Amino acid sequence: MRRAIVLAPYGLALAVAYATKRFYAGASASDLEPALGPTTWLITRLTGARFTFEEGVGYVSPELKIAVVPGCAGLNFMIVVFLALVFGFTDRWSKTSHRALFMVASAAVAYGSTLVVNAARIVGSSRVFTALEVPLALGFDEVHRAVGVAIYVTTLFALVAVVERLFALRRVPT
Amino acid sequence: MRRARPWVAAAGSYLALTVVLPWCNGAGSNPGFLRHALWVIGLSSVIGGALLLAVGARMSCRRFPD
Repeated sequence: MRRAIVLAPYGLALAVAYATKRFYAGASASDLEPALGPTTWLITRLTGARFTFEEGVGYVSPELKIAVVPGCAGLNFMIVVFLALVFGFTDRWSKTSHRALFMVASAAVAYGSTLVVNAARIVGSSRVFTALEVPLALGFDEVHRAVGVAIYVTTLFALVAVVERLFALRRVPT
Repeated sequence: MRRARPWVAAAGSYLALTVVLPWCNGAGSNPGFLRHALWVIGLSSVIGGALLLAVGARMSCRRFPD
């Protein structure tokens, strides 16, 4: 019984990740509005470029020459952050209620960080591509992938470091 | 081991979602997938390694000051 209680958060996290992944696989731009809408809003704040929503495509910006489509929603990163936080830190809590709250907080952090990081990734890809296109003769896909991996991996490890630091502060009373 | 757990969880879930799961779903037959996987594994190893070195150096500086 005790073992089941200890393992429950991990099983639940995997179930949530699986359900999100399944939803993402068949989701349209309208279905992903909670991710695409705030992301394009942030891109507009960062660049000033305007987006228009096109049914079946996503958010299109003629100024930046980009379309924020379902594949750009960043839901994989959201799942990664959620799983990393739950699997990495849930065992630091002893009470079941604290573990449950930490899971909810992990989901919120995963959602919020995905919106910010994804907007930074899209703006970064666009800027880096403009800067490197001629000197390195790289295609947009390569630049997009490289900037994406760099931003996602750095943010993921930075988030883990921040949460680790918060736990360390919690352990040492000042 | 306990301190390493979050880092292992982060690296594991990242690689699972970006490389392992797409490969299990049949993306391996796509000719562009190997290139994608090499980009992801190569670049994330370089960045992850640099961050681990930085964290390790900081920890050893704290443990053995001067």
